[in-house]
Amino acid sequence: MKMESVKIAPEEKVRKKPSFLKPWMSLKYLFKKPVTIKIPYEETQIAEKYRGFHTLNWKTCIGCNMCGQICPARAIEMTWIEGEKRPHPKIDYGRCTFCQFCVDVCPTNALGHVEHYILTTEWKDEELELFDWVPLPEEMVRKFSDYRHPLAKIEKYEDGRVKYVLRDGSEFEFKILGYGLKPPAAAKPKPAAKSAEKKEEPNPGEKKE
Amino acid sequence: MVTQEELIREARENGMELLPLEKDTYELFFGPQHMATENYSLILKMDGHRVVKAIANPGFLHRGFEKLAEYRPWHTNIALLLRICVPEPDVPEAIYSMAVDELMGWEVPERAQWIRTTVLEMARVSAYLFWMMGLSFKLGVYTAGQWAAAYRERFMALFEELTGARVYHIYTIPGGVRRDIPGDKWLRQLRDTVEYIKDKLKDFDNLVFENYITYRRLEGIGVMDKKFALNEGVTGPNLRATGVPYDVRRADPYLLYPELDFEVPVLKEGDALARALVRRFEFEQDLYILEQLLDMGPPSGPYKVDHPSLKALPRFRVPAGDAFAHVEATKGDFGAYVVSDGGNKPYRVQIRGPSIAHGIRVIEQLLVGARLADVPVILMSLDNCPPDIDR
Amino acid sequence: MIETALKALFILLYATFVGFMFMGIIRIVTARIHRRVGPPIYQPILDTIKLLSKKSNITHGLIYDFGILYAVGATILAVMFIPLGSIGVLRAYGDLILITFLLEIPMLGIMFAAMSSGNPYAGIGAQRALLTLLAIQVPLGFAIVALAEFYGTFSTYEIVMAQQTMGWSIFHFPLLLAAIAYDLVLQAMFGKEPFDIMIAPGEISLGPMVEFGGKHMGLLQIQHAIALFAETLFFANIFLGGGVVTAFSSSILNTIAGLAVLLVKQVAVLLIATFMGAIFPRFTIDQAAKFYWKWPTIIAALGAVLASL
Repeated sequence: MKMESVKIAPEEKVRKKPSFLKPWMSLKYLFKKPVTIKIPYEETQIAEKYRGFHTLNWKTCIGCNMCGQICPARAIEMTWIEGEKRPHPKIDYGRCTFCQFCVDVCPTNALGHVEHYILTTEWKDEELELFDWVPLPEEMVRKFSDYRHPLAKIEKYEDGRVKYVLRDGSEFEFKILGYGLKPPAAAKPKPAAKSAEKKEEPNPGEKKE
Repeated sequence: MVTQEELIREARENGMELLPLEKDTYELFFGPQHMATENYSLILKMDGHRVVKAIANPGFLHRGFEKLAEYRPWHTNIALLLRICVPEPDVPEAIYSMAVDELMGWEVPERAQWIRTTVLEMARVSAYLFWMMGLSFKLGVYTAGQWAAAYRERFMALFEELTGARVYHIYTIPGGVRRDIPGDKWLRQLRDTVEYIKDKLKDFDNLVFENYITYRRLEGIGVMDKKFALNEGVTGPNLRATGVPYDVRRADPYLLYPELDFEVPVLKEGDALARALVRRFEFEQDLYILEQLLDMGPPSGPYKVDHPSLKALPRFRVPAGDAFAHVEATKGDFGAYVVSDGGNKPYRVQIRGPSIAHGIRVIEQLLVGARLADVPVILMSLDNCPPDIDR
Repeated sequence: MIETALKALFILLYATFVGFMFMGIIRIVTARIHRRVGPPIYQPILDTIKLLSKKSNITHGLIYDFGILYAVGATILAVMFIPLGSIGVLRAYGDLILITFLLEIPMLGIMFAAMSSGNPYAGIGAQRALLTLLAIQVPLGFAIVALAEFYGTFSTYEIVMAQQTMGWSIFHFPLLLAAIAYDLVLQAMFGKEPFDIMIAPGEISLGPMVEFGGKHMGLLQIQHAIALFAETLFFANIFLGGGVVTAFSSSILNTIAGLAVLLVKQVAVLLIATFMGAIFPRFTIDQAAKFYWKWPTIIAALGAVLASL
């Protein structure tokens, strides 16, 4: 610990004198324009690289689960999808802190982010499903430019098929075979990614076959 | 009939503490749902409108940060630990990263040091504006509070351009920073904002710091003397208002502070007015420091360390040992102590918040004899921040 | 008989509507000083309609409900006694002391209701309000005495008529001192800084009104609107000349012009109070009492002594 020389300020610069008349000068702001903007009618500027929702490139994702290990809120769960060789991450926005460490750590740059951030629901059960999704490829998400979530509805069927209905009407459908790191019984067990931490609470909705 | 003494004795045997009722005093819960205390609670025994005894009641914001940090890899603790100090979230990021840098033993590049210093100074200025908002609302002059909130918005917009989020930046990581400065346009905007706020300081002076009624409210309230402050571990502007010239940026310099030139204000009275004036002077000095940093300009080079073990962040290991790093925040001396046992998670992280010294014991002594109307003013003049008492 | 009832109803509705407009003006002027946009002027009417339509109310007994009705009733009665241009129902009987008394009763009514609710914050707020009431009596008394000595009469209507020939009251020096003291007393009666100790949102969570909600709060807002109108009207009548216009030939146009002139004077009084409220912090209760018993008392007493010479 080295002590630098401390330059102490002289006391006249720190003290001030009270007066009755000076506060009246602050009335000049009555004639100036207000600083606030009326939000539903005008819009604010969002920065270019604002940390918002995720996008996933399904072809380059190799299912290594680096994003799942580094997530501070344990919001990522790997999902086995029919037709894809490796699992893909499923992100739960109820837990996500939007820190984008998962984007930084992805070794193939498959996970990315856009600056859209608005997702509001009315506490209906089918709308709460929107919080839990496998991100879509970037060109499907960037089409909507008013900062809202790209999906309008998620429909789940009994045999594991899931249909994403986007806001412009197009649909995206796939079938979920299982969750977790180990593949479902059909494939032979591959060595999952080395994870040294303990996952103490079971992930909700985990179905191991 | 059971008497009060028997009840108190029985409760104490079972591990509880009961406070007796007395004839001339009544009890008031200055509770957590109050507009003045920011999720903190005090139990006040009052006689008329004077306080006879005050008992601090912390614990409403305990979220278990230090235990949760033992189950997450080194880098992700940044996203967790920065929620400890809400008005100034860059400070816990900086102290944790500095402690891990010391354990790793690598050298942080100069561009990253410049960026870290600028971010810390911007956080100090926004935290002082936040404090001015709180003080104005408790004194009753709402005008200055609304202006301070509006000017803080400009800093939030600057942070959004630089880091990607407005309040919780998650930007400083062990080894440097996460992203680079987005070009010269951002530096010009920062300089324009600093000039703008310097113009508006005169308005705040006219309204709050040179107002006759503010002096009547703040003078002689909550007096601390030098010996008491040093005994209790008070730091920051509260200590400088009692006559001790201690500033961590000069006593234990870190980052780029040895090359910057600023003055340290010291007053002698130790009452609420002295603390307010010391903070007003430091606000001006922080703007001057930002101007010096902008004149220096960011040095060229990488913005984070290029180490082979940073390729796969979940498996990043830190050699065994322990380290301590501290930083001068607006509230006081903020420190982090990190212990590692060689694995990819910390073994123990302990954060020392400044309000643990002046939120519990100092408040209980300063409030004796104060009027009820002075209780929120004393709390705000000490700049009590409950999240870093409870962690 | 019918004519008197219609005039009374007109005064009541006019006072309520203009009172709500005054509350809206206070909010939007304060917001512009804060550099915000502010709500539209008719916002307090919407707030009161919302409050009166809430379903369930907790009640702490008879005094809790009765205190608010007491306050509203006293304010309505006060408005009837003050001359409003050339419309008047009871203006011949309205003298200075009666109107001052009726304008202070609402605070007592709110104190009854607040203290019977059992919340310690409401009790503290009620004690502070009663002490404020005690503190403002002395300068208020001297100001009224100064007026009575100068004009030789206690009746409000005769003071208004006398000002038509002698010029406004504030152009005479002793009455100017009385007007300054009365303006400082008005700050406490409106409940604005630096004397809003009884409301004090930052310390005691709105003081007496912490337990009110729903219909009780709606009635309190109506009382506040009519009280704002009554207090500014009283000040405009005794110090600023009232609203008697005789320029036109038809009496309806005279009445409307008189009401318009009175409205301008009332808004001027309100704006001065709003400006003072936006730039000063608030006093504590003992500082406020000491302040009222020092300078406004001296100014008003000087005015009273000079007026009797």
